[in-house]
Amino acid sequence: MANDQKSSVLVLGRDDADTKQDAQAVEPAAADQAVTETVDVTADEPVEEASKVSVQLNSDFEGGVDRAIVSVANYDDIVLEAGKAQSVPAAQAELLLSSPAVEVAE
Amino acid sequence: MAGVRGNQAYLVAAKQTGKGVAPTKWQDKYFFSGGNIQPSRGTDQLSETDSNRAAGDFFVTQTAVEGSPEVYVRDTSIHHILEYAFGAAAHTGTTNFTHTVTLANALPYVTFGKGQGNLLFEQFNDVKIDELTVSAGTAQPLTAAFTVQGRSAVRQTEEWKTELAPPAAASTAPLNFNLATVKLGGSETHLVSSFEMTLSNNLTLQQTDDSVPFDVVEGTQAVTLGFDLIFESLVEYNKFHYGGESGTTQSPTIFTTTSNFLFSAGENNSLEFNFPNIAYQEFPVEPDPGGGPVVVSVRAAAQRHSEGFVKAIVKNQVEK
Repeated sequence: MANDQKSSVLVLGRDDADTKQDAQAVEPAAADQAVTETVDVTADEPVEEASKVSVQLNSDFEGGVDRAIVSVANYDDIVLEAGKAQSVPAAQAELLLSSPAVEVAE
Repeated sequence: MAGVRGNQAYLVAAKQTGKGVAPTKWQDKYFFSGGNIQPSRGTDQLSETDSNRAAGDFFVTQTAVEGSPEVYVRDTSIHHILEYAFGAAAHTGTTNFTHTVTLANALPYVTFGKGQGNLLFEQFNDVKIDELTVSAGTAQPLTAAFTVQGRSAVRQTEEWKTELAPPAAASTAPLNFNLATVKLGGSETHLVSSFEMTLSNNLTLQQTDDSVPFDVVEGTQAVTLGFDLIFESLVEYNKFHYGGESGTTQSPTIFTTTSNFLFSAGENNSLEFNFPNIAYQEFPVEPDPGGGPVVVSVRAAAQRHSEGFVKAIVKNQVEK
């Protein structure tokens, strides 16, 4: 599946080799630091853990049903039961949360 | 051998679990009430200077899938078409099921199959629904017309068999506008005589290094609503032009309201569209020299809301 431009994060870099006129003015260390800061956002926990979201059945959905099968694009259906949270990839959670049956687990 | 009759055709469909992943079972079988789905073939023509007047040769630019099939709306299968076009669905219940279909940022890839006579069987892969219109005129059955864009078509040498054998088509009657209950601004009205909801996904076919497109990508999403309203009171007219039910001064701001259309063939067999926030865009009250009663063709656009542009609720006896 192609990337959705609206939901993409664009990290701009500069190829100093192609800008000979400004080569002396560029400080490589500053560029490196900018990249490092981006990585530091998730440095405290493994990437796979950081990209997961815990979701659960919305207790208010349809007056309080105890079970729902939720279907979203590009993922297998997920069965949510009242009071039971499930950890799913963030990309899947974004789609699941578009359904009123799903909410982020506390 | 006689020619193939045009009315001997069917459509089958199944949601894929991802791009390029073929389904193992069709979800529904439909009959066409209009339109078609077919392979598309784009061509272009060489253009270069030469020593004679002959026009240049043609070449193939793209092979893909296109079409705008239209089917009658039955409660037993409309939740699937809605899920293909909206993106997300939640299924609840036992014996009697409720399907809540909502808009999502990503749409599922769908595989369609078409059988024409007993001669042509084509399977259309990696298809997404570009635009869906669910509509019904006065006393008429609801129809779902959807334009599609897809990546590739495969001609089957025979009809699908075993696990992929087409299921039986639903035998229930289509839903129709005589089954409608309409609410505007939270209040029930009997002045509405038609319904038309259009969801646009603004798909783009991305082509890279092959005549087969690389992908089908969703663009900006929009939902519009149209209905005919017998002009009996000024309530909705005033809301549109004058800022409120009893307004007299043209309003500089958009007036928004709610709308709900329920088509019910019984307590457990229905289709409901809930628009939590719509803005009227056209409210034409036209004089008629012929003296006919005034009917306003209202047009509205769904506005952003925490519950989304529109939510569809389908009740039937199909689990998911």
